[in-house]
Amino acid sequence: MSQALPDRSVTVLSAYFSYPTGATPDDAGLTFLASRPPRDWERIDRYAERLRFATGDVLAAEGERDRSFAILLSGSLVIELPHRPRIVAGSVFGELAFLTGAPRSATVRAEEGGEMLRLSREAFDVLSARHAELGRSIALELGRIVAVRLQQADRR
Amino acid sequence: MTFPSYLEVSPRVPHAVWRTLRITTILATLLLVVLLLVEPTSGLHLFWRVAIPVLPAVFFFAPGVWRNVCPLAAVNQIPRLTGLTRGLALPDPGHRYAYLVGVGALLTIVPARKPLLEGSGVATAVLVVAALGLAFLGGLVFRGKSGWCGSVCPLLPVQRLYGQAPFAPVRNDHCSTCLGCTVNCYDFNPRVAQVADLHDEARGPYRQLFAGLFPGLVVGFFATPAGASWAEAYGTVALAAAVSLGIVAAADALLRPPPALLTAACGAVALNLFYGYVVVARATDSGWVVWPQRVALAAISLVWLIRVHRTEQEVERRVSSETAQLDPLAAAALRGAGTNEGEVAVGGHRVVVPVGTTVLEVLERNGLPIQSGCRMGVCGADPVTVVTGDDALTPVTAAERATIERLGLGPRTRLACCARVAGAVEVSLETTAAGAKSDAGRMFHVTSEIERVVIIGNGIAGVTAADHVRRHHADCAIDMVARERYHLYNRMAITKLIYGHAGLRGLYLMSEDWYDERDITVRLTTTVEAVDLEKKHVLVATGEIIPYDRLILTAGSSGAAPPIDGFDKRGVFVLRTADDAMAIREDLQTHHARSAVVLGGGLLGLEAAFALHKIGLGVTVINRGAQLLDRQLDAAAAVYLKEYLEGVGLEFVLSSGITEVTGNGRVSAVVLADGSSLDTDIVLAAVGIAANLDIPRQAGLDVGRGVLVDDRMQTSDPFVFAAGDVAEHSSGALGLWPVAVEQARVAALNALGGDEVYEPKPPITMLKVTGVDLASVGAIATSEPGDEEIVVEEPTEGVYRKVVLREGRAIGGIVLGSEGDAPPLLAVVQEGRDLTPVLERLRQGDWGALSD
Repeated sequence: MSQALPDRSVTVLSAYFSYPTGATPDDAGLTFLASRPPRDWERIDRYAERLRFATGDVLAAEGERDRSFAILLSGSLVIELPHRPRIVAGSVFGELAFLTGAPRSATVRAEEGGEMLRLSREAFDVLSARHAELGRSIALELGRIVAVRLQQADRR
Repeated sequence: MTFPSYLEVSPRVPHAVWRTLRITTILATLLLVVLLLVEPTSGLHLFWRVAIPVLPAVFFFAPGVWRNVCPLAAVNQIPRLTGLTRGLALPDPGHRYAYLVGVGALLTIVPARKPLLEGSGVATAVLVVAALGLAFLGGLVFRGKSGWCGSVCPLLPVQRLYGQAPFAPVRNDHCSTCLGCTVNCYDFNPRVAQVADLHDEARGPYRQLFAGLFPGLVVGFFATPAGASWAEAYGTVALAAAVSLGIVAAADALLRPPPALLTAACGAVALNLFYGYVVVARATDSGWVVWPQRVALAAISLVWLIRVHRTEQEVERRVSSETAQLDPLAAAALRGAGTNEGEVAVGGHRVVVPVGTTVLEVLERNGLPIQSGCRMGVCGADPVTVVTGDDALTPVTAAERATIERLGLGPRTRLACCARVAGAVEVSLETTAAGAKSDAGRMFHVTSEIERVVIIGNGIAGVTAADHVRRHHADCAIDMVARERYHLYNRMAITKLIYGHAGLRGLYLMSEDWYDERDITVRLTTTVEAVDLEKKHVLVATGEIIPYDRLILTAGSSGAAPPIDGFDKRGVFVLRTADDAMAIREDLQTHHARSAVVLGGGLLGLEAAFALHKIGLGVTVINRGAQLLDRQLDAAAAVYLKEYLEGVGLEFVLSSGITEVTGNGRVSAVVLADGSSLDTDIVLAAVGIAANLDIPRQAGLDVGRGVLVDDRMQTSDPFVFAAGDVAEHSSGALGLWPVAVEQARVAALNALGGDEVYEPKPPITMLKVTGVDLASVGAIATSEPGDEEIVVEEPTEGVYRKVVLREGRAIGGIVLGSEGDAPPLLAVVQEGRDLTPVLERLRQGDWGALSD
């Protein structure tokens, strides 16, 4: 039938339907840390840095080494690639550099001002030393997200 | 554009109103059934000519209204509200095929309207009652709304089709808690539900199928003549639906529109046809009434299509960025967090932090190039310039001011560790020098015979002494002699030399010009051979003789080497100086070390252990005592620290020590006190410090563990003063920077003829060991009868706070894991404040009581 979005859209869209109950990590698709209690988010908020930015600010520069991943809380970002994909509020990004320590593969610029949380590798180490289970879950989630994407790329 | 779930939006219409409306619609439906049976003509008119024609418009403009007041939904939810439901989960094939069942039911009911339903009150009543009964049954068996509204309801396909971009979104009022009963639930997130279904392999084709035949269903129904036979009715609808499907499939193949736009276009066509027919059917006169209505409807449909298209595009853009998403509740929780905030702008970042956070903390956590040392404004490792917002920082502390003056930095300089954020502030890492020399402070009559002051040692005590001598005596010669080969550097950060690759750069605490600007002659890498107290001169190893009128001894201390067999083997180090640290780094690299043993669970030992861990070694810390940091922590706090460090990855052997270092020339293992052996590639000892007493001993000064000094920091020789680690004052030699700085100030002023008395203060340690913030001040435990200690802890967060009281006054305490809670403790201890008025609050765990 009609032109469909790539397969991965299913998993991305599932984020809009991550119900407070019933979702298990296995079917969470590209939802990051589905169904965790509020205290875990309070902890993530405490160990992460809250950064504010204005329209046009560069939040990550291509080639930069910055071992961290981020959660966009508000505003929107554009990845400076040919098809200019957008990162919207509620997105998790930068996990590849966080996992591998590789330089940023593209520049990310703010399309609309807002706030983001940035969890550096150091802060993550502190968080997971104190809250081992949460740390483990974050690490596994980031790994799982990368793996899900890889699987989908394979399928295409 | 955001797509919040119903859980993230607040209700605009109170629940009670919706409930009342639902009761009303149920009663109205029952009344309708009675009317259909008793007075079929009006009942049928009401149902088929009034209620049914209104519904598509409701679905189109405010689908949520119908979702909330639909009598079938209301009846479906009765078992849930009354707790009668069995609450079974609808199995996955159920989810998939329920939709088809609903579509099938719709396709069955619509054509039956003309041959049967609209002419028979009984049949219509049966239809309504059957629907009510099935909805109730669905609610009785299945959980949430999955027994009807979210699955087999024949109107759901129409609602999903029309409800993609509602002009008036209305929050789901049925589900006080979400049970997650339905895949891509329309009530959970109406604007994305259809798009999500369309991109779902298991559901998308069914949604497209329905959209494709729906315009045909409308045409077929209206094309069926009144009073048609069953065959004619179904035949006409089937034919029209087939044609419709064919046209849509062709359009899809040719134009390849985005799927949601395609289904919405089908919906728009169906809607226009439907109301086109309805209007025509009602219009008694000619076209001039009909056409404006048709045009208006078409225009609204167009706007709606654009809205649907935008939604779909937005979703597509999100998909193309491939980012993972938070679940909406998490996003809401994070967005909502954080009141009482300040903001620090630095180096292109704007960091939002809780009020009370130090600028140092902000810089460190964001990986900006800042050094740190004592963390209380004494060492001067972390100067920053305040660009804007001075008043949004806590005021300059006394120690901080003294340090900034010593460094000769400009008026807008703050030490990042002392500046706590209270509002919006912008800082820069560039520092500027003070325009004019700062004034000399308290003046007194300088003994005129003093022409030459010699200072042995170039640590913080030596530099502070030199600074004060120069400030009070503009003309005398100042000579500094130091064994180390570097200018004053940040000794507290030497473990950075082990894991970092910047070398000493960044560790220097002053510029090289500092000495020249103050006309101070400094000799580095210079060993003092002898001090002649009689002749008042210093003989250095180069043969040079430096005469003095006053001598200030600040020769510091050295790392103690424990008396252990085999300690002289290669790969065994004592860590104390920058050179030690750099030698360790070099050794690790040359010998590809993988494991390390650190002797000593004190500050330096733990810092070193962390540094080794950070570059990838497996580290075991061996500590003689039963607890870590026994000078700064009590046993309970030490357990917190140990658990945390174990979480980081360090291993500990407590209440133990090593008896021997084994290996052939180079260390390969250590033997522990219990006789067991531990393989290791390197051994690093940080087991304490000993004053450098060779010079004072040779000179014949009175020494104990250090050079004995009185309250004026004068040694047994009236022309010789001492300060810092080398000095032994009755209050004890502690190896702390603030102590060294204050002693050096007193020694310098008294050397020049002043009469200053050294007044020991409760010793403070502020540090950050590997992610643990620790502040420790004065007495860390009770020691006399009547002393009281109050502990306020949060075990799950690793936060431990303790204040020790004597006769109601704070004499010491500990704050671990909660940096912001330290300043009030330090303040009450330093002031010796009477805490009796707030004692009860403290005992109840209100640490904030210290600030009042």
